[in-house]
Amino acid sequence: MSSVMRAVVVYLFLLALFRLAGKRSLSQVTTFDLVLTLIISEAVQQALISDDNSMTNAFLLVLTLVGLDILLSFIKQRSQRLSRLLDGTPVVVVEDGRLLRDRMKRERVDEGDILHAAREHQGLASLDEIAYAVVERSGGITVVPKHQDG
Amino acid sequence: MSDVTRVGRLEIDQNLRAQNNDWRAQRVGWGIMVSLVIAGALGVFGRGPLSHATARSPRGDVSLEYERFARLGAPLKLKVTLASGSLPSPVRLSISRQYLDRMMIERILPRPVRVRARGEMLDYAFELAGGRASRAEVVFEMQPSQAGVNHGTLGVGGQVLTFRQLVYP
Repeated sequence: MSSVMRAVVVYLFLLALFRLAGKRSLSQVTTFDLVLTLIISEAVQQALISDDNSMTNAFLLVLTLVGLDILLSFIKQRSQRLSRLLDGTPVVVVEDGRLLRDRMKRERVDEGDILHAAREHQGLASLDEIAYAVVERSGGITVVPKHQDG
Repeated sequence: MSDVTRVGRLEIDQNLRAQNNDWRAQRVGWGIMVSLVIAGALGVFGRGPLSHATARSPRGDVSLEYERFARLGAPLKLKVTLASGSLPSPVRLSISRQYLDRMMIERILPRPVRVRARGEMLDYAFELAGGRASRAEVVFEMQPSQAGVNHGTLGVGGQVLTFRQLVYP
């Protein structure tokens, strides 16, 4: 298989796999997420490079991968539907201070994760202080405090 | 973002219908992942119990151990066992060219004393210790060089075994 085809296949495989795995997979919550990311890159490396260690091959692969990324970003800009399909959508898990348990369960998020995000980004101490929490496309959680002007 | 909506005070491009589809697709995706991993462990993608196969000649004196599933560029073995009452020395094995063209042979054990092309086949001649033996094993170590379905033919003393291998890219 040519380098370009290899890069395209690997890119699409990983894209599909990580979309199916869900937002929260490998979203750098724990130390092990980072380790896992490194192991995955190591495993995929051989499939990308195969037996060709030339600079030409490396450049061709990087060009293909970055090119695909640019191409997809254009497509996503033009079509809302494809954008949702490729990137997913954010999900509100705390609305007006109410925990939406069903969505939390489906996104595999618990109170601990929401509190973690609240402490980290807003310096909030308890769930009462949270107005909104959203599981973003990236898998990270963002928090809006109740009294923004207070 | 044209589909930004309001959820209370929050302006957000949440789309619960798309999200529900996502969740459903994820369930299906996990099912597929689990089945692929199980299939992989069993050898459907090579190297496992479902991949290992043995073909035997009708008389039972020639057997060939091979892999049903192989991977491009990964080591692969063919093991031929001859077990007839008395084998002549040198004993002759022939393998179809069509098969070998799609392989890179790395090593043959024992080393053949002679290799000859004969039409669509390659004839390998192996010497046996003491001039005769009742049992001999020949191992071909190789690497598939092309993905796809490989049809192989092995001929020993007028008996022909055919086998098939699927080589994954």
